[in-house]
Amino acid sequence: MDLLNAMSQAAKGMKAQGVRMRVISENLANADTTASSPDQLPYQRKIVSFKSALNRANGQQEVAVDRIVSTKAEFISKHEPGHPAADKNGYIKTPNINPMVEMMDMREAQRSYEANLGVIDMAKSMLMRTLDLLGR
Amino acid sequence: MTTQDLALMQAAIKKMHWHEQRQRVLAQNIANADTAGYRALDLAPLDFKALLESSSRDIALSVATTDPQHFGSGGASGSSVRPVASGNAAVLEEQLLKMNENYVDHRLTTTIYQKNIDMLKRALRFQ
Repeated sequence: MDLLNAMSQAAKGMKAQGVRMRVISENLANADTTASSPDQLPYQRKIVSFKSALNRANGQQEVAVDRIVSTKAEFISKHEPGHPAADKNGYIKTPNINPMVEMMDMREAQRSYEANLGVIDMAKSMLMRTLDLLGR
Repeated sequence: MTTQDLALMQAAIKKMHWHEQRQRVLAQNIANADTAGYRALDLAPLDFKALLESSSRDIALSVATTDPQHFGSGGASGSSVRPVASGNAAVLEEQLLKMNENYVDHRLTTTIYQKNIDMLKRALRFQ
């Protein structure tokens, strides 16, 4: 049934965007997480990459989370002597997270999620419309 | 003779099937909108006039194709439409627009089907 397949496809998309949202919230929550000693690294920004995998049962290219990777961007240095993680010059490394970038990413995930929700809505209307022919 | 033998009904059913398949393909595009390297798919456009003409001409019996791997006996089967790459990456707005267009067309087809049934019912009432 194509319409039901369309709905399951959109549900897979929503699930993938959900994982993306979780990782973004992780990034935002850890935006100020520093290391506890000078030789350790602070929290690293994570990003999600998607892949499309073939579902052999129905021949669809379904979206799935490929992997969650830490980005290699430079850490932001702050002068904060007295901090347990400060080096000998008094600088600490803070996570490579820009809240603005995370907010943008979050909006994008939200839009994609809404688009998938729209697909389900329309597939459902089409299905109901076809079923309505029965009542005639 | 059943309503299924009417050319218009048959063509309408095929068109509905085509719209359902297109909805599935568009759902795939939207779900993969953020997948790197994914290319958007779409179905080849449906020629309703040709479909109507072919189904009114083709009254001869044909073997049913119950599996996608069966070879048809000339009659157009529902599974003959294959998605083809539409040539660009999946743009969310474009795909949503296509989906809306698909929805409206599907609605039109179901309305045509319904009106046809209504017409037949009305004719039967005067018997």
